[in-house]
Amino acid sequence: MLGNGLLSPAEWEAVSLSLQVAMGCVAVTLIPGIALGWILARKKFKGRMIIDAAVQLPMVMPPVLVGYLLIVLLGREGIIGRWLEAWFGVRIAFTMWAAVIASAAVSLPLMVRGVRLAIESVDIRLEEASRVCGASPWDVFFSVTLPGAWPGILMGSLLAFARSLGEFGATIMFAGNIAGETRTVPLALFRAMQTPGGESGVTRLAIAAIVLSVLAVVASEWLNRRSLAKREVG
Amino acid sequence: MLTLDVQSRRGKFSLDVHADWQGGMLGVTGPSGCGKTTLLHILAGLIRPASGRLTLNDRVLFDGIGRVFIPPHRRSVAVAFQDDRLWPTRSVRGNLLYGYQRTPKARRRLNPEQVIDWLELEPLLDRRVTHLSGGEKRRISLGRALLMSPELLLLDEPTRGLDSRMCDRVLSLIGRSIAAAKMPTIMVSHHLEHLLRLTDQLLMMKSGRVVSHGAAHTTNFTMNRLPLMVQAHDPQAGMMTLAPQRPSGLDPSMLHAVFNPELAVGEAVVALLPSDQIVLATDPVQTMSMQNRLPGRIVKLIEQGESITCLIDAGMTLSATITRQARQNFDVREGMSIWCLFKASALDVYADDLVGFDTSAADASLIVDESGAM
Repeated sequence: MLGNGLLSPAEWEAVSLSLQVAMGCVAVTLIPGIALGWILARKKFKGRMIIDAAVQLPMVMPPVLVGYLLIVLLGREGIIGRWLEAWFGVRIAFTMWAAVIASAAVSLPLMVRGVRLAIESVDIRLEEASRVCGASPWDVFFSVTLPGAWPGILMGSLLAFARSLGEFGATIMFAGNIAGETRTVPLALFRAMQTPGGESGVTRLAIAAIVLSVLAVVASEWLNRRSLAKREVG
Repeated sequence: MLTLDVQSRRGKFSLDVHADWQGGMLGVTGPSGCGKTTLLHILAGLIRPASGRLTLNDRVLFDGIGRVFIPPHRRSVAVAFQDDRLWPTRSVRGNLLYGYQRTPKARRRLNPEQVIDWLELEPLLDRRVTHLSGGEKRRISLGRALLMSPELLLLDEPTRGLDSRMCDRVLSLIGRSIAAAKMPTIMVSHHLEHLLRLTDQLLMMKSGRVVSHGAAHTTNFTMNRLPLMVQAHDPQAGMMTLAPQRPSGLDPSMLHAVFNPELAVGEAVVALLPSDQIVLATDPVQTMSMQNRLPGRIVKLIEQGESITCLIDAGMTLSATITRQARQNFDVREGMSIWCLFKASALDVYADDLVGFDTSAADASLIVDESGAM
């Protein structure tokens, strides 16, 4: 590979794992994020505030606490985890899936926020027009709401992606720091810091992390401008 | 056929409308905030009334007691909204065909090429809707609604925000499309003359109630709508002669209007004549420049506040408004013979785009004045 000389194989592995986990995180949060964002933007019902608060909670809680709660739920002795292992032989904790789920838990609020704002920006009168033209509520969602909200949903996905790249606390609690399995760039950096003589590794990983973050920020800024430009035209 | 008996309340505004309608074209008018748009939204299913009942062609769309509410997408009621409501994420074609694609094949009565041709939308089809002019958007919104081949077409202020030339054009397109598609249509507008160009059947609302409902000349509207045809041109005199479309008591060579080369001889037209432009006289004063002198008989006098509306049988029914003072000085009585005088320029003449569209079917049930104001 082109950059073989820049990073060690283990460090490359961390970068590639980081990207995989981040993509997994977007994949896992996209559908629930759109569903929750739509409900919060469009539906009025009792208990809406509770859902709203519950969705935002992981954003303000310490990520370590999120990780701990995930262990309580999905760990080997956890409420759901025990059941999963007994019935399906599935173990989540301390696998790459655990890293994805930890990222997803802390990224979901960002995804929901992006989707919600995007859906709120779609004029409800345009949805009414489509009802009158014979579209069922599902049809309205897929033919009018979703296309109108798409730039914002993309923004939300990018934010979730970026958040996942930086995720540390929940991951180290729930997924551990296992090379090739859950050791993403931030965890590799932490590990290198603790290893005597790991300073050069720290520098290289830090640069890798900065490059990834800059790319994510640039991409989100580009998307943002594009959707703004579109809105002005509209 | 539509039967309507609905009540709705939104904050301080309450709406309570009873009306029956047999079909054809109905104009709805009234001051701003009288509930015209609310009524259309109730018909379309966008607002659920608090109580009442609504049926369209024997199908119950809403019944407060039976808890029936057919949602908008199952109603086959199309709306051309006053704010157009085109989808910016779709092309002109995508907007036009949206409802068409969602209409079962068996129910489609218009084909898109035809409508695109009528509305002259061909050159716009692949454009986005965001950069179009008001008139273009209005035409697309109208086309989208027509292409659904709805059981009921609702037009909400279709001329709003258009300059007079575009307004003329849009009204003419509406008339032509509706006549060709034979679609029962309700058009809301606060421009009485725009409604009367297309229909004689009017429902007037005020503060959420029906004030009057019927043919224009029998209700307290202040405009005469005369279905006529061009009989002869006289460009040298700057005049044209108009005659009734159907044989009537009106002498064919007596009506004169300002010459308009765009209206051909033999063409069906609608002439609008404001009631207050008619001068009543006991003899056909020949020493005046007025070109129109019609003999008639006063059938009915209706008091309306400060003025009095005289319904006159002059071969066609005309309404003329006079003041109380004029009535006294002149001793106007029901049954008396009278001459109606008006200038050629008092007649506003338009092509009758609804020729062939049966608007008269509505007459029987509509000549009922709900308010009892007559």
